[in-house]
Parts: sequence; C-alpha cells; structure tokens
Amino acid sequence: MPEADRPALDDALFLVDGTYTVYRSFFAVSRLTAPDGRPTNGVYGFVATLRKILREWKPKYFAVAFDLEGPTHRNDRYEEYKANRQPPPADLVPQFEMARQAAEAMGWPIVEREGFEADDVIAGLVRRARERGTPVVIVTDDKDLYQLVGDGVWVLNPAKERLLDSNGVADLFGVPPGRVVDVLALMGDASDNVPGVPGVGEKTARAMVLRYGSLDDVIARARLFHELWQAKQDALAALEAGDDDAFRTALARAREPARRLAVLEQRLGGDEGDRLAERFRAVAELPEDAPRRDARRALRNLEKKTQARAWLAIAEHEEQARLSEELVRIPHDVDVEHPFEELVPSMPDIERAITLFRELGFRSLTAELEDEAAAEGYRRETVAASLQAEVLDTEDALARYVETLARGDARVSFDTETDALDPRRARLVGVSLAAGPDGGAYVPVGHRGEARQMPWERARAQLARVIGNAAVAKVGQNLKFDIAVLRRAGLPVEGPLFDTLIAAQLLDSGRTGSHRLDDLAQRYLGAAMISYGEISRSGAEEVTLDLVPVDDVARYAVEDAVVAWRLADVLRTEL
Amino acid sequence: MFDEIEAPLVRVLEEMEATGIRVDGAMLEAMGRDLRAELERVEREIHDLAGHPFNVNSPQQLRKVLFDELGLVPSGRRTQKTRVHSTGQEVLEALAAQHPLPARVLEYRELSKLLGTWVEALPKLIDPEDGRVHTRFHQLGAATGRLSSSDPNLQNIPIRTPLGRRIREAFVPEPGWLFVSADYSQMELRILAHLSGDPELIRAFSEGRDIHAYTAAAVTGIPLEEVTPELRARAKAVNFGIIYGMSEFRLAREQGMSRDEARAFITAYFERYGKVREYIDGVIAHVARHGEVRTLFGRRRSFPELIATEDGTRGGLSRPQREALVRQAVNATVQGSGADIIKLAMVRLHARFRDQGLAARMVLQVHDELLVEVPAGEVAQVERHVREVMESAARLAVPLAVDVRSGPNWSAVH
Repeated sequence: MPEADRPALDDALFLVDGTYTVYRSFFAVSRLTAPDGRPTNGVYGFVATLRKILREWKPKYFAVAFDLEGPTHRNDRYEEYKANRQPPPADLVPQFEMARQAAEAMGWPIVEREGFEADDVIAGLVRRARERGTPVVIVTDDKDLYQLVGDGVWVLNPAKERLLDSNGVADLFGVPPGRVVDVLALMGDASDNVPGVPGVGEKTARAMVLRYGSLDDVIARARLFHELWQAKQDALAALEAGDDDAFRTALARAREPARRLAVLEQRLGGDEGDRLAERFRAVAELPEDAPRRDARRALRNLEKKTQARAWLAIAEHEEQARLSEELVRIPHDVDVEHPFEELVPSMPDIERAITLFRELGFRSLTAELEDEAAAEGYRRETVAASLQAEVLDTEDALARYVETLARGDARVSFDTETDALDPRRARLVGVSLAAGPDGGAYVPVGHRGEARQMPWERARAQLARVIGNAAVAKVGQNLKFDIAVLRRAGLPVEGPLFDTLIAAQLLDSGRTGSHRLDDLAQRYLGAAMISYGEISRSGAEEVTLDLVPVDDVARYAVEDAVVAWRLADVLRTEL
Repeated sequence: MFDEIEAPLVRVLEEMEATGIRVDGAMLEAMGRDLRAELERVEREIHDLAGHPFNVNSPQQLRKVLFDELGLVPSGRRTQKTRVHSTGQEVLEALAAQHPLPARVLEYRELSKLLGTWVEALPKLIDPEDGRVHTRFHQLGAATGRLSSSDPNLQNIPIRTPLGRRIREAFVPEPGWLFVSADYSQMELRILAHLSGDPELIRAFSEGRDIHAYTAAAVTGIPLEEVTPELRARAKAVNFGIIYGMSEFRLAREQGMSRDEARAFITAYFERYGKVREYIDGVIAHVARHGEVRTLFGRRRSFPELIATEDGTRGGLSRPQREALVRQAVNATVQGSGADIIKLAMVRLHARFRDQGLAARMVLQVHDELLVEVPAGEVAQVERHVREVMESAARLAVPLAVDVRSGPNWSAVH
C-alpha cells in the first residue's frame, strides 16, 4: 500500500490470526517439504508473511493468536460444531505446532487462551487496545473477523496488502462490519460447520441484510412473509374448492401481514421495493367479493419475484439462523491477560531459529537470518554455556558462599525464580546470586520432588546476611518483582538498588521496545541467553520451574544474575 | 537522577503495590444499581425522543435514527451508497445543536463506560486475601517520566464529575485510619515560570495570586477585580494550552471565540509573558541541534527526527507530524520536570516515614496527587511532613504550592 495512503499507525498493535495464516498458506503455497519429508508449506507461508509484515510496517506492538487444542465455548452451544466437518488434511495438522515453535524462536509474542479460539482472543485484545486508545490492525483475510473492524481497528490482508477500515469492509464484503455477522448467520460457512439457512447464499444474504437490517429484522420479515404465504395457500385452495367461507377467512388472515409487508417495502423504497409493495398491497386490499380471476392472480403474484423460497427457508430455519449467529459472533468480553508491554516483538533466538529453519529446509530464510545475525554482531553462544553455576544445596555451602559476598564494597546481583508471574501468588523456587562476570550460585528451595535443596527458613537466615544487608549494593532486572516475592517470603531487601530494567528504560528515554533481559543482553553485551522455553519444555508442554531439574534451573538463574551484573556496568557508564 | 530518584523509587513502588488500597464493595454495588437505573432512564428518554425503541449501542440503528429518521445533517461527506457516517463522539457533539438526542446518547455511553470500567470491573480486582485492590504502578510507563498505573488505571477516573466523586468515595482507609491527600497545585505552570524565568509569571506566583485571573487581567488590561469567570476560563485555557502548544484555531473553537480574537489573545499573552516565548523558542532550537530535551533533574527525552538536517528537509515528517513532535518536546521539559519532582517527593516521604517510625504509608499517586493512609493518631504529624517534603522537593524560582487535606475517603480529600 502506498505510504501516502496509510493511516497513522505508529502506535498500533498488529495482531496476526496465526491459525488462519498457516491454514491459508497451506493451500496457497505449492508443495514444500523438509529434508525429512515433512510438509512445510503452511509454516513457510506463515513465517514469510509475518516477516514481511514486520519489515514493512514496523509495528510497535505485535502478537500472534493461535487456537488451542480442545473444546471451546462454541462446542458447548452446538455439539456438532466442527465435529462433522472434514478434519484438516493430515499434512496440515503438524504444521500448527511448527508454526508455534517458529514464532517462539523468532521472538513473536503468542497469545492464546484455553477454551477459546484465536478469533475470541483477538477480540479480547482488540477491546483492551481500544480501551487504551491503541489502534489495532488484524492480519487475516478471514471474513469472520470483519465484524471487529471499526474506529481504530483495521483488517489487513497480507497477500493483497489491503488495509480495510469500515468503509473498506463495506466495499469488499458488501455490508459494514456491524452487519457482517448477520450476513454470515444467514449464509452459513461450510468449512466452519456453521449451518446458516439452507438455500440462502452470500448474494442473497447480503442483499437481504443491506435492505432489511439485522438478522432480527430479516427474521421478522421472514415470519411475516411466512404468515402471508400460509394464508395464501389456504386462500388459493379455498378458491379451487369453491368454498367462499374458507376463502374469506383465509383472506382475512392474509391482509395484516400483506399490509405490513407493503408498508415496509414502501418505506424502504427503490424500484424493486415499489414493485413488491404493489404485490403485497394488491392482496391486502383485495375485496372479499373480487372476481375469482382477480383474486387468483393477486394471490399467485405472491409467488413470483418475491424470492419466496429464500424467505420461507429463513422462517423455517429461524432457530438455526440464530444459532449460526451465535457461532459466528465473536464475543468481546474474553479476558486476555497478557500485559501490553509484553506484546512487543523481541529479538529472535537466532540459535534456535536457525536450527529450526535448517531442519525445515528453509534455505533462503536460514541464509537471511544468518546475514541478519552477522550484521548485528550476534554471538550465538549463550552466556550460560561459559559460566560457573554452583548449586548451593546445604546450609554450610551457602554460608561459605555468603561469607565471600558480605563485604562492605561488594555489589551483588540476585534473581528469584518462581512458579508464577504474579508476585502475590508466586511461590519461591530458588534464588540466584552473582558477584562477578564469570559465574554465580543458585540456592534451590522450592523444587518439587527434589532432595538437593534446603528448607527456606534455613536459606533465608543466611541470605539475609547479603540480601538484607544495607551495606551491600544490589543489582537485578525488574527488582520490584523480586523484592515483592522476597517480602512475602519474609526476607526484606536492603541496600542501594541498581535495576537494569529501569536504567535501560531511562536510557531509551521513555520509548517502548523490548527491555527484556535477553534483548538487553544482545544490545549491550552482544550476548545470547538461554530461553525459558529451552529448560522448561517437557515434550510439547511447558512446565513451571519447580518441576524442572535443579541443574537446568541453576544455569538459567545464574545466567540471569550474571547478565544483570554485567549490564549494570555498561548501563552505568551510559547514564 | 537515577541514583536519587529512580533507583530508590523501585522500593517505594513495591511497597505501594504490596499495600494496595481498600475498596468498599458494598458502595460500588449500590452505585451499580443506581447507574443501571440511570442508564435505563436515559435509554427511555432516548427512545422517546426517537419515537420508538432501538438498541442505542448499535451504531447501525443509531445511524438510522439520526440520519434517516430524524434527518439530522452530519458534517462529514457521504459518497457511495455503502459508505456510512460515524456515530463517534465528535460527530454526536457536533449534532447536539440540531437535536437533543445525540447529547443523551453521549450521556448513555459515558454512564455505560463508567459502569463497565469501574463499578463492575473494580470489585473483581479486590484481592480476597486482604480485601484490597493492588494497583500496579509502572515506573516508566509514560514517555514523560510520569508513573502510570493499571488494574485499575487510576488516571481514568473522571475528575470533576459527580460520578467520579462517587467512585472515589468507594476508596476507603482501614477502620480507625484516615486518608491524607496532597496535591501540587498548578505544578506545571510553576515549573514553566521557573524554567522560563519570566518575571511576570514569577511575580504572580510569588504574590500568591490566582494565576488565571492574573493572566486574564494582564492580557486584556482589565483590572484584576473586574475579571469575569468567562474571561478567567479563557485565560486558564491559554495558560495550560501554551505548554502544549495550543493553536489559535483550537482556542477559538474551545472557548467560542473567533480566530481573530483567539490570535489576539495569544499574541497579547506572549507580549506579557515574553520570556515564556523565548523559552519555548529556546527549547525548539535546542532540540533541533541536539535531538533531545532535558528536564530539571536531567531526565532525557529524545526526538531524533527533529534534528535539523543540512538541507533543511524534515526527516521524513509531514508538517503536522513535525509540529506535534515539537509540542511534545516542549511539553516534555515541563511534564518531565513535574515527574522528577513528584517522584523525588515520594522517595523522600518514604524515607521520612521510616525515619520517624510512622505507620503511615503512601497508597496512590495519580496526576499531581499523592494519597497517604494514616492512623488517626498520626494525621497531624503526617500532614506536616507531607507538606514539608513536597514543598521542598525542588527549589524553584517560585514556591511549590501543595494542598493538603485529610478525610474518611478519597472523595472527601480530593
């Protein structure tokens, strides 16, 4: 899209419909396989598309939404939902997980919630973004998502580079975003197993919604038409049978709906409307004693050019239409927890990304990444690989280590490892310490099923000599969290503080962008760090740190402390 | 600045987060009932005005009512048949002159928003463990250096409306404790006086004048005692607007003046407060050369796009974009200095409470206000300490005025 036409999107959140992108790429990209034979066209398209978006738009906030396995609230409402539909092609299924891994490796924030589809999560995030006044661009071309378009919300079709606002949706789909659900409810969606109304296709649905309004309005009209139709059938039958009484009764039943339909069509206007109004009026005003020929003609005219079949289908399948509406409507009230500050594209884990892409056989992508890495001077070896990480699992060992630290002019970096992100809920798993650039120690206290650790009360007493020592300066990343965790564990943190997160943010003079420790390490130290995912993965799932082996956590935790220690030196000089 | 302000502030904020603030759930529930009733009333009014019921929340239906049924004339263009007019706030405000319905819709939306954001959402944030809400404070959450908060975002509580007051009433101290609120009054204007060194501005503050009335008098030549409320309001708008680089167009529109009148007002303002103009120009020149501005305490804010290039091009910015950045740069020095001062006051107050062995603790910081929760027996002392610490946080060419109040809930002290 030409620069000049772009709206101001500097502060925007770009939300990618990940599941859909993989799906589309699978069908759009021709047969592509990894060296080991696995099909990779879906993942490839996914990665290429996202990289293109990031390159061209440079969004401030960025996230990818995926469906999570398992039933959703839509299954609760409609058991057959998705149960009858064709399972996705076997070649496609494993590619969703691959895409996820690619996203993780590339540092693209992932958003998802159990029991909800990607669409729901997207809607929840859109709502939050709007609350804080952040514009949102949803990257997809699934028309289900058009309903979310509005003030400050666009849809971007990445292949066609088309950015749609409300007017754009109206141009493309034929109705504005607020009416998309109504159209979809009527026409259904075979691939998604949304039934819709049989016999009503996109063109008809659109025309009806455009003219009559919401699904409720359309259904109301369908009911009227149905009522009229029944009466007409009876009236015609009575005419044939020569039964005057029956005819009069039927005609009386027909008058009211006919009149109302005529008024409606009249009000809505248009040539088409006027003609319809005439037909209806003819019946509404038909005298009881009209000649049989006239009566029959007026009644028969209701069968022509009134799209009777479609309207009757709607009346007959009203329940199904409403159900379809519920299925396609994306609720706006899903709570999506992710703090906005974390929805920022961070630097790729080059090591992991390159390994993954090599495995998948993405030669050009691998080459691109290697070039980028070289250009930025990334070092691929992680800090953890080259440092000493001592595990202090006895009180003696800890006491001895603390001796070396509790000197007056020492500067000690520390980090807490927990099983949750909310300090008010988190349980302490361990504490790491570092007083130099080459290594440090880890004190496990809260690992499950682990003998190599000591009770917290013992550790606390020793740690207090350092952490609670006001003469020892403290270093760490996002110390507010650690202080809060330790407060609840009964260990106050004393001494002057150097918080590398605050220092980095200050240096960037208030601009957002990632200030995560691993990104700071790349920027200021040219060093890579092991990721949480690497130590906490057990098969396809991630577990909390209390279930990860002590040695792995020790490496990870000491790396955090050492990097913060080194960073403090560098940042201090820049401040 | 890092060592004196931001580094020690980490601890202060952690404590505030851990302390949280007590919220009266029952009061919020009652407020919810009232708001819902009010919403229904307004909705009925809207339906009456429209002549039929409809879903006020549906932009499509509203559009139909406004433009098709009532025949109101929107100011936007309508081209193709599928293009639709927005029913956003600005549009409705503009339409208010033509019919009473749009204003009711705005009212409906505001009530709805308050209901959702505060009355319904706030109770969910109460931690069952202690019955308190633990707002998260982001130390460098705002580009200016000010704190920001979330869950809830305190800045969103409406200020000066009756509903805002009721929401604040629901924030209460522990039984037997009180709140002490301390608010810097006109902090940014005072900072501007100091940074610019403007003698008139400095004199007004030093003499303890009502700065807005004073400005009105100075600019129009009318004697101070004869300044009307309307004139004062205009002067107030300009006083605040100057810092943000308000244009004459905006002043005219917001105060109902003609553009000529607005221009004359602003010109007279700068003639009177000449050094303010010089100061602003100085900031602009500085940022053009160095690409950054600094606050009183040395906080930096960079604007690399504003560095003047050799060939005079604008670094890829359109004129309005550039002007917006320039406004931000000027604003950054004033707002940023404000952030410095408040944060320093917080750090020192925290230390003061500790040193004096007081149980009083800070619970909230929003806009220019600091809220402290105090046991009844410590209130007099705490009021004194708070005033002392805040007034002396920075030595400026004009006094830093602080309003201190104590009371049984946040609304009472606000």
